Amino acid sequence: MRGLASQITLTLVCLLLGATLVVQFRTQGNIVKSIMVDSTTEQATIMNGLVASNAALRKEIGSLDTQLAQFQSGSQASDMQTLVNDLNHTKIVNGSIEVSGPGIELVLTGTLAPEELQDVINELRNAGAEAIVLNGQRVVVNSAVHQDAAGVSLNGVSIRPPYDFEAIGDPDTLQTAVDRKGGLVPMLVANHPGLQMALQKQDKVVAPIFERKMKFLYAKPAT
Amino acid sequence: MAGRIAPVQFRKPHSPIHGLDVGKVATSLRKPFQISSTYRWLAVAMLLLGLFVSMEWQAPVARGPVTPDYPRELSKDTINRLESEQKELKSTIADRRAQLAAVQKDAATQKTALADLNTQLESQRVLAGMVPLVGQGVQVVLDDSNVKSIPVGEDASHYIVHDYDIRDVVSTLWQSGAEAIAVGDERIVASTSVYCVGSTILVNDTRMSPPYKIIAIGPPTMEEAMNSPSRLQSMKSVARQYGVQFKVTSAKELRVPAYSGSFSDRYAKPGNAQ
Repeated sequence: MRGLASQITLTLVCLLLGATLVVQFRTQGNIVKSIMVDSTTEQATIMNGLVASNAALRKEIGSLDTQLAQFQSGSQASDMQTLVNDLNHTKIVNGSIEVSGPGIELVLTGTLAPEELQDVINELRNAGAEAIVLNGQRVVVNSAVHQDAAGVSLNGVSIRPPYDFEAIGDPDTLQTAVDRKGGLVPMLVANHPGLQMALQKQDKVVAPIFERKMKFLYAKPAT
Repeated sequence: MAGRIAPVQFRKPHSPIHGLDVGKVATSLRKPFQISSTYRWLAVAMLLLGLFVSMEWQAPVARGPVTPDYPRELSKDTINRLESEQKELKSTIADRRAQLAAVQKDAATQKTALADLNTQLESQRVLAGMVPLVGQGVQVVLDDSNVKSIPVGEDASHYIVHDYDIRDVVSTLWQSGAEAIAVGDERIVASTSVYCVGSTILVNDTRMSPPYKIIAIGPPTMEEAMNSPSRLQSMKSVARQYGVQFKVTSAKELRVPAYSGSFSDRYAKPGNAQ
């Protein structure tokens, strides 16, 4: 009996001892590792560093997003669009671009003096025509119907009756202006026997581009 | 029986110490400490156990100064999480920067395109009459007749300047090379009409009153045309007959104002499509 009890006790003690030894060595291992890589101080330093660095990264993303938004908000794009619109608008005025739109067509068949044809152009301008065409030629600011050796000319190009005027604008306004009693065209018809007049509203009038560009040899922008 | 475990033994001396039986001495020395080998082993084991337990007890003492109390495993996880966040953030930044570079490149191209458009617009504006101009040219002044009285029965309208007179002068100036023309303060532009309402002349829908000053910047041929007997014949004959005034002078420097009105383009659209 005595022998067995002591044997058991001894076994248990050795077990405990062994277990303790194992734990001891494991702890030893951990201590070595933590001494080698990071103590809790160093771990905290790393963590704080990462937190701060990530915050800075987020801030940078925010800044980049703002910059991108500025570009994509369309401020540049709308500058472009405004310029394009202005340019087209001015080109229409100058006859530097082909345009189309509703309007009227007035055909005068008969003999007319250059000044009378110029007067019809004046009448159409007064009625708000945005673009005028005479016998297929775009009428621009310095267009002048005149007499030369070849007869009647517009922009240096000879024209002959019938005189086909086309104008882009509000068809009703244009028609009323041309038609009106006491207006130029009825007066012309009254003064020129045999002169025929045909006036029609149009859904679409095409005004071609005026090719020749005016050269400024004498005029310079005022400072 | 303890016989299974090897007892701790002193090495028996081979050579007997002179006159001394060491074995007998050792055995006799051991006598008061004689314990069974089992208990001997137990004692040693317990000693070692105590030793290790006490060492283990001391182990959790903190090394170094006091720090935030993160359990070690949790710290490791946090750092891993932060690092993977960091990786993601860096990747996002790289993406954004690439995007921004592309957009900036576009904008720079647009800037050039914008500058180009601007140049075009400027020259079109000059053409359109929206810029004041200076240069040499000619000045034509038209005024109503300065006769002291109009003879009875005469048509008074002969004695005044008409809209068509102004139109004819402007038309002749264009034909003879004018680059820019103004009547009074009104620039002649593509939409300009010179119109009569009653006895009032309107230019660009603006009321004019005599004397009507017409200026034009351009070549000397303009003055020649103004003075040529073959040009503006009807107006010149009326002037001679009724005293309507028509004066032509050349000028070294004339200033033609910019058009101050608007251009309508509600109906005319670029192109042929409708």
